[in-house]
Amino acid sequence: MSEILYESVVCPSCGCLCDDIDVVVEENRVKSIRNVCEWGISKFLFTKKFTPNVKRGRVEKPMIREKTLVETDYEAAISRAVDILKGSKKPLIYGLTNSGYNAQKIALSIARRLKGLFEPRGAALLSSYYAAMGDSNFYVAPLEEIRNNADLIIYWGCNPIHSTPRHLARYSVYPRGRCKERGSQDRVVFTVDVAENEMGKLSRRFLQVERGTDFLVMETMMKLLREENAEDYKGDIATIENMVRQMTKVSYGAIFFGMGLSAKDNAAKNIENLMALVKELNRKTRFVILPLYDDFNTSGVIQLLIRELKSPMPADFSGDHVAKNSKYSLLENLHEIDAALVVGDDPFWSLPSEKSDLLKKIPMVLIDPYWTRTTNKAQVVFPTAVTGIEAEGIAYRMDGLPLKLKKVLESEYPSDESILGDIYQRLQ
Amino acid sequence: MKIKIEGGRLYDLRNNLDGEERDIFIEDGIIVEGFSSADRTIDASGKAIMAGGIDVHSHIATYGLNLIRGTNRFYSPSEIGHIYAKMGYTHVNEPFMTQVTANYVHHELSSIPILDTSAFLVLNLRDVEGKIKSAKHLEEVEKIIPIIIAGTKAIGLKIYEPFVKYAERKYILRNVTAKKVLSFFSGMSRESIPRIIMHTSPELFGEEIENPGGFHFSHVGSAIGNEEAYQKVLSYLNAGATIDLGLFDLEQNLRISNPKQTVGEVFGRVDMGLSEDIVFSKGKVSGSEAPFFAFKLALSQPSNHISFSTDSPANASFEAYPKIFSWLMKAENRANLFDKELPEFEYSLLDIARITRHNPAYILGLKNKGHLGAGAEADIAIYDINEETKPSELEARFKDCAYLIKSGSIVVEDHQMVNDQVEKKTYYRGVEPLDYEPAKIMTSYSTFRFENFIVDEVFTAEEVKI
Repeated sequence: MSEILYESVVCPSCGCLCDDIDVVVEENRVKSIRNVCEWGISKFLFTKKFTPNVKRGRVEKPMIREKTLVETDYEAAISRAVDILKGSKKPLIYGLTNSGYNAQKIALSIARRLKGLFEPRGAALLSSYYAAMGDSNFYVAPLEEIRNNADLIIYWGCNPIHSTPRHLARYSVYPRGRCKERGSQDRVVFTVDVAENEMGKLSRRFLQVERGTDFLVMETMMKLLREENAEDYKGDIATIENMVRQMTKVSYGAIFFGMGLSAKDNAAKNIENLMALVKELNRKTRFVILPLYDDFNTSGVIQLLIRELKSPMPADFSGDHVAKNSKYSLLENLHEIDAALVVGDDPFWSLPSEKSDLLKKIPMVLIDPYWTRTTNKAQVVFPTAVTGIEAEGIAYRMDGLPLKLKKVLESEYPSDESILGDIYQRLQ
Repeated sequence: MKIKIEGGRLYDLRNNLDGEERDIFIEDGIIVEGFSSADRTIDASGKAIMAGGIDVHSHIATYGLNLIRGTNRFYSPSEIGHIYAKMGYTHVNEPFMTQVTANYVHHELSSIPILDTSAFLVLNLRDVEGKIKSAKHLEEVEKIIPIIIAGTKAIGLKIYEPFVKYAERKYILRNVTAKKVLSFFSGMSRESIPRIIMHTSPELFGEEIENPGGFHFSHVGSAIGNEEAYQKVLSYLNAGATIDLGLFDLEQNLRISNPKQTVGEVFGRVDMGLSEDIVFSKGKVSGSEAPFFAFKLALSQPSNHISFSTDSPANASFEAYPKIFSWLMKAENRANLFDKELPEFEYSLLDIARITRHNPAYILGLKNKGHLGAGAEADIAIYDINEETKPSELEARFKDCAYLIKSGSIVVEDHQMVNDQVEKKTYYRGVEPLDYEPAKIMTSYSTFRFENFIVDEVFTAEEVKI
């Protein structure tokens, strides 16, 4: 049987979108794969994250709920999904950060047509970031320039080893850049997190903070930068002083932040202070800041929302007029929702139980390639091809630059884009 | 569909039409000599007809602009398409696309309805810093540039900073002076790249350029703050250079500039790999003579080498074009703009067609655009303007065209937007045969593999190679 080599495939695992993956396919199976991280392997082999020998259960047929979930044909599943969505007064369209850009676009059109709510996964933190961007200045750079210039990398509230494994190797710490020719020897890494992890071991400085109190650290850093008294801070002030000293000495710093900053509902406060800190640092040297997206197309949905609605915040189409963008997450008002369309996400794993419990009470349509904790709670389940492996698509890297996702394997399942397209068409 | 436009007065430099009454016949999206029966006839009597407007320089998809849009400080793609269409425009060129942001810019441009688009590739000179210090590598660079332009689906090459400057002293040997860069690019053959677009700045006009005729200087208005610079631009024009004007509307505008040229409130900055960040700010230009000299230039020498632009949104947002046209056309409309006297010259409709259609089409190399002759794309704007139109009404008439036909489909009918889902295209400059190999050095320090730099058609509208 002949082998097919696909070169420079874009990996649809995390927001890194590594574009140097070479895949050899034989008999519609991945035979070998180069340059990929452990998560990427799991993605291409359809196995559990970081455990490439444990297969993930694929949803094999469309299913609808009678007493239990029963297999049905595609048409019947579409009809039931459309009935649920049409019968709803205020549906929620949720997830979408693991879908291609065009699928996201159709999902937004569905929300608009149904006068529903549209919220990508992880919106609480991102909304805070974009809200702070409006109030403060933004300082961004494509990952190219961070790799070329940065001599200080700070990971704040995130663990790239787990969430974006090749981030350090491709974009931040290890690569040789135009002005950082010795790679990691030319750079310093700091990590701020609630518990010492792998990052702590490879960072020059590790600052442990109490969960949800990052904003206090940022405040203290700003005070030190302004040469004010910061003695009232109760934590590890020596490390903070040391970090601040180094932060002002470097020529180019980059801060990556993650979901850790949304702990204890303090996302808004944390991000506001972090943006203010970056502004303060830019008075002395050059600093940029980027969110570290662990889903591969979170950035795509943000770009889409901005293009269509001029705001990256979750959108509420339920009013009489144009979309109203919520300042923060719409999931605060989950009790108002009477149906949900969830695409490529597992809210019963990712949301806190008090929120996901509310989802149990309403009919839910789920589009996901795999069995998850959510599958059993849904009324309609669609199996789907995995975007970027079994279906083409467009995804935006964490710095907002798009790449084309290739199809390397044939699949019997339709893409999420075509399922959403069929639903949208039937809603006309 | 066959459309006949009857009784309008045509303004088209290429076909020597200065208000002559002629019928226009459209078939399959193209202007044709004639046909016997039309599916649709448009009565344009008493109206002025021009080809669809072409904006040679408007930042509508620059990387970073989405962050400004995300805080509701810039138009959405849909608003951009609609506003331009109502003004009679059918093509917009994005002037700031780097190799890294090419996919992004094209994807953003393809989300703008109605308008055909194109983009200039801003070359990061750091990628060729070792090769542009002397003419030794000229041939090699001449080979690489058309490939990169074709790969990023750009329509022209732009140099934003005509120098290489590193902030860190240890890289001092990598720096390349403006003099060397200008001399190198002056020596380039014009066969594959007809004109190199130069971002203008006061510093650029302080340099000597050996062969200005090979360059197009963009938004010169931003860089001519004194008589000396003004005279220099005139001398470049006489030497065969082309320019776009960079006129001002003297309002609060969003600027996309280097840190020195910011005005008013600063929103944020993006590192695009140049020697300085690109900064987004908003304010009013004050204390500068540049707006005066920009208008003086526009009113002193209308020629085939001058195109209209405002460096939108910096000197004036594209929405202000009709106001500026009315200033150019009637001295009384611009009487209170400046304390000093401007030339009395008044633009005719043909002059407006020349700077907004004919000349931009030439600069971008769009042979089937910017005119109304047989074989041209059926992009046609019909304005309610004639000799009876009062000076005070001009702005409103340019803002709200009576009809707009795009690729043979009616977009605006009787001042109403009737269809924004028309065919749209991405124009780019191709090269034959296309062998990417010599250009691979351009990705030595990139996070992308070369294959992923090549802009795929999923990011563009229907592609048209010129």
